[in-house]
Amino acid sequence: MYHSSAHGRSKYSVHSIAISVGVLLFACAAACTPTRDAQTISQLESARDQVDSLYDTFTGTTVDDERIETVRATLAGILEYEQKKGKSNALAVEQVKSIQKLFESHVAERKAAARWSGTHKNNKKELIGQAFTIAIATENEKNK
Amino acid sequence: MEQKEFEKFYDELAEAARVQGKAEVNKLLADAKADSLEFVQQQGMLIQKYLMQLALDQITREEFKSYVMDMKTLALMEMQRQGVAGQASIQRFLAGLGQAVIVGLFRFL
Repeated sequence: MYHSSAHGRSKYSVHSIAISVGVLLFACAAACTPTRDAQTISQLESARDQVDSLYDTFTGTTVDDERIETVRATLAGILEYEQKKGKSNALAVEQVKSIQKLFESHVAERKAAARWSGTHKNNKKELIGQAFTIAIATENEKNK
Repeated sequence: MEQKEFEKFYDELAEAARVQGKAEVNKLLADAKADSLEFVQQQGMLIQKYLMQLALDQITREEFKSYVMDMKTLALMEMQRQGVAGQASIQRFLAGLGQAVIVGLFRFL
């Protein structure tokens, strides 16, 4: 009788532990799964508009360093915001870094050239625009 | 006479490389067009557009090269986004881009 009761208690304990572990794992999975962030999307769209209007100035003979710095600061702010979300947001962080890489290469190209032609400017806007589109799509595909 | 023969051989070699390069670019464009992934189809159309602009002197060779490098970055971004689903298509496109454009076409630009 005593053995049976002890056995019953131990079975009960095993079930409790299993349920608790399950609940903990579920909670952890929910907490670790990245969720869609409307602010990220809004920031990326705003940065894309800034880059677009900056590139419009690249057909001129002078380079507006102040505007370039403003875009740089915007992109750095987005990167910092994404990094704060933790390891589960690594993909978004990598994508913002890729946008920064493209932007910096475009700025370096523009500074090395006398000016951009209209066709070249449109092509570059199209290419960096695609990078923003991919990053926005990545965010949109997260859990809502 | 020997010099002339060497020049003829060299010209034929350059022509053969040019023909092969053209065939590789055509294959890249045809494969991209037929790919099931929309991203790869779009990239194929972009390459075609930039080649046309290059042929019409609307862009420089350096500008064309910079687009190809940008497209490589975009393909890597899209591959990260797609995960396993689109990896094979994008890897095929990247391999084609590397062989036909970066190794092949860039020799003549």
